[in-house]
Formats: sequence, structure tokens, C-alpha cells
Amino acid sequence: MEQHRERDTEAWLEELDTIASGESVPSAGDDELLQLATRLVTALAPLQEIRRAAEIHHQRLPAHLRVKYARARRRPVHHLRLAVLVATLLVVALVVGVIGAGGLEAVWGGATRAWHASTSLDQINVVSMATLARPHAGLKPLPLLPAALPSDTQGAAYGVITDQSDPNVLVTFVADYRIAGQDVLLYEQPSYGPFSSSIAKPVRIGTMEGQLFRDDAGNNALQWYQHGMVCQITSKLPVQRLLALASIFQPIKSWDLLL
Amino acid sequence: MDMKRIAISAAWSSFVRQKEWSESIAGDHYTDFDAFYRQYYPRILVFLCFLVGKPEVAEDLASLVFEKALVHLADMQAPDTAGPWLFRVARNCATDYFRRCKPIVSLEQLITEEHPQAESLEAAAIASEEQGYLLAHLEQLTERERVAIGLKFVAGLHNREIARVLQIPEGTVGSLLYRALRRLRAALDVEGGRDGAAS
Repeated sequence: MEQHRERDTEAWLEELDTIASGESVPSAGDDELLQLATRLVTALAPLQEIRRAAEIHHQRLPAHLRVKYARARRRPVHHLRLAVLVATLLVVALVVGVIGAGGLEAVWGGATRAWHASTSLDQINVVSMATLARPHAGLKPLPLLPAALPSDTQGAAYGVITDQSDPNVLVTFVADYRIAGQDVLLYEQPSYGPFSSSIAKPVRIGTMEGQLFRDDAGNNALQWYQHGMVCQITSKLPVQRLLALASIFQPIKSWDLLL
Repeated sequence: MDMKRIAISAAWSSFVRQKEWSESIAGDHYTDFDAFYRQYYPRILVFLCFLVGKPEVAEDLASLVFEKALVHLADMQAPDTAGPWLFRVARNCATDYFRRCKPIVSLEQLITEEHPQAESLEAAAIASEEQGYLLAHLEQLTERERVAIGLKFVAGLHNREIARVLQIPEGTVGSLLYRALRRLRAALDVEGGRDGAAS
């Protein structure tokens, strides 16, 4: 009995579907609600003309939506570029691991110089954190972090690239913060000294010297050398905020805070 | 310290999900937002016409719906839920519009204006009167019933899609449509009886 009712209901709904879509009309024997549905389809038919007109005249996004769409798309493209960077860094780390500890210093120096030489906003902005390992106890050297995060920090994630032959040797430290609704990405690499770029603008970070890279999309990259690490913060945040953040960086004493 | 770490982690994981979806929208699924717009705009427009009764208002609201879609790409979660999400936003936009100003044009007037009858005057008058009755009685349905009717008969959604828009089980959509038609039938019967009594 119950099954009968279910089958009837299903059949009724299927018939309603075909009537609503204009594919069929009810027969004289069908119930009055299906007859009413047909009248409704007829009464609402003029709206379908509006729909057909819209289908012809709205083939493309209007200009104001196109501008917004372009803005919405810009960030993900960013991510792609940085995923390429991370892949490059991973390859460098792999090469270092393959060559072995003997040539590590020379290779690492070269890799670092190459990284520095290629430092530009096109290549270093965002990193896919999912591809990176989490920091672990015993990893050295220890990176630097801000003594305190701004009160409008909405998220933070940390990742590391380690030496292929020794997982306790840090090759690159990456932090991804969300501050005031903007991505703030921090990259750090051990280095024997600072790198000076001719295209960057020299800036003061407290008592330290740093350099600022900017691009047309409003990205700022602030780079400086501190405690044996080259550090770089990349964000769309105003330069003053990046300088204030960079000025309170200090070496962490252990990984406990991030584990 | 642990508490703070958990809070940051939760905020981060939500942020990462947003990023992933933004990437998928711009990457694999809707490389061309034009196609998405082309697919949904006409149906959203006509659904809004049904709800607000004024094509120019419906156009403004439909534009607003797609602006919201661009701002809240992450809320759409996946391409198969993007359509229902748009219709849900359209319904909310219509509700907001009604809150701001009650429209002075009814659906009945809109359809008469948009669809001048081409048949004989007498046939046109009868058809128009009959349709007028029907559309006028739609106003007597609950908002949810009207939305369900609009999604089914105007936007052409399947029950599964309507269920996603209204966030109810699929089986309930059938009941809702059945109940809406029955109430409409009853309202027409009452009107017919009153007319009969009057004449």
C-alpha cells in the first residue's frame, strides 16, 4: 500500500516535471492539480520570453563585473607563480642532498646567490603551504619571528624545506600570515651575508639596512639580513606596516612555539 | 598558548579552504566566468522577475547576485552547488528589496505588459482574465511556496536543485509543490464560487 503511494507520488512528480518544462500537457484523465500546473505554465510563459532575450543579449559579463572578476582572479595566478618557486627551491634542496655534505657549502652558496639574484615579485609572493613540511624539534638553524604579531592577525601557518640528506638542516623557512585581510609571506634562508640588488630601494628597518622591491600590482617585498638569515616579507600591506613588523624580528629560542 | 594555537589553526584552515576554492574557480572549473554567467544569468533574471514583478529591478538585482558571486567565490564551495547558491542569493536579494520598498507592480501587471495578446479581442480578454486570476492568487501563497513555484515553473530547476536552494530534503520539495498547487486550486475555487454567487 505504502509502495503504491510512493510509486504514485513519484509518477505524479515526474509528470509535474515534464509539464513545468513544457515537454508535455496532462491528459484529460489527469488530476486537476496537473491541469492547474499547465495553466500556470501558460500564464508564466511571457517570463520565458524575457529569459530567451537574456540568453541572446547576455553572452558576456558586463564591464563592471568583468573588472571585478579580473581582480578576483589575480590572487590565484599569484599562487601559481609561487608554487613554481617552491618547486625550484625543492629541486635546489634535492641537488644539495645528492651532491652530499662535502660540496654542500659551495652548492648552497651558489643556490643562495641564484635565489637572491632571482628575487623579484614575479617569483616570490605566495607559496603553497600544503607542499611544505611542518617544522620539527631539532631543526637548525632556528629562524627569526616577530616578537609579537599585530592584533589584526587572522591566521598563521609555518612550513620548512630541509636538506635532503639531513632532515635536521633547515634550507628555507616559510611563514604565511593573514594580517588585516592580506597575505603576509615570510621567507628566510641561512646566508653568509646580505644581498644587494640594483633594482631595489634601500630602506632602514630600525637600526638595520634593508631593501624594498615593489611591483605594479601593489606588492611590496621587504628583504634584510639578520642573525645569519636573509629574511623577506612579501605583502600588499603598506610599506610602513611591513617595516614595523620587520623591526621586531628576533631569533626564536626553540621550535616549541610553532609545533 | 595551546588555546591560541588552536584558534589560529582553525582560522587558518578556513582561510586555506577559501584559497583552494578561489584557485579552483579561477583554474579548473570556471576558467571562464563568462560561461558561468551565460549559464545562470537568464534563469536568475527571470526568477527575480517572477519574485519582484519589475524587469528593471530584476536586472539590477541579478547584477547584484553576480557581484556577490565574485566577492564570495569561496561560499559556493563547488561547481555543483554554485547554481543553488546563486538562486539562494537571488531570493535573499528579492527579500531585501521587499524590505526596502514594496513593489507597486504586480506579477499580473508585468506579464500583461510583457505579453500583449495577439488573438481575437474576446479570446484575449478571456485568456487574460483567467491568467490574471491565476497570477493574482500566487500572491496568496506563502513566500516559500512562491519561491518553489518560481524555481520550478520559471527557472526550470529540478527538485534536487530546488532542495539545495531551499536547503530542505528533496522529498519535501514535492510536498511543497503539491501543497502550493492545492492552495492555489482552493483559492481559485473560492474566487470562482464568489463570482458565481455574485452573478
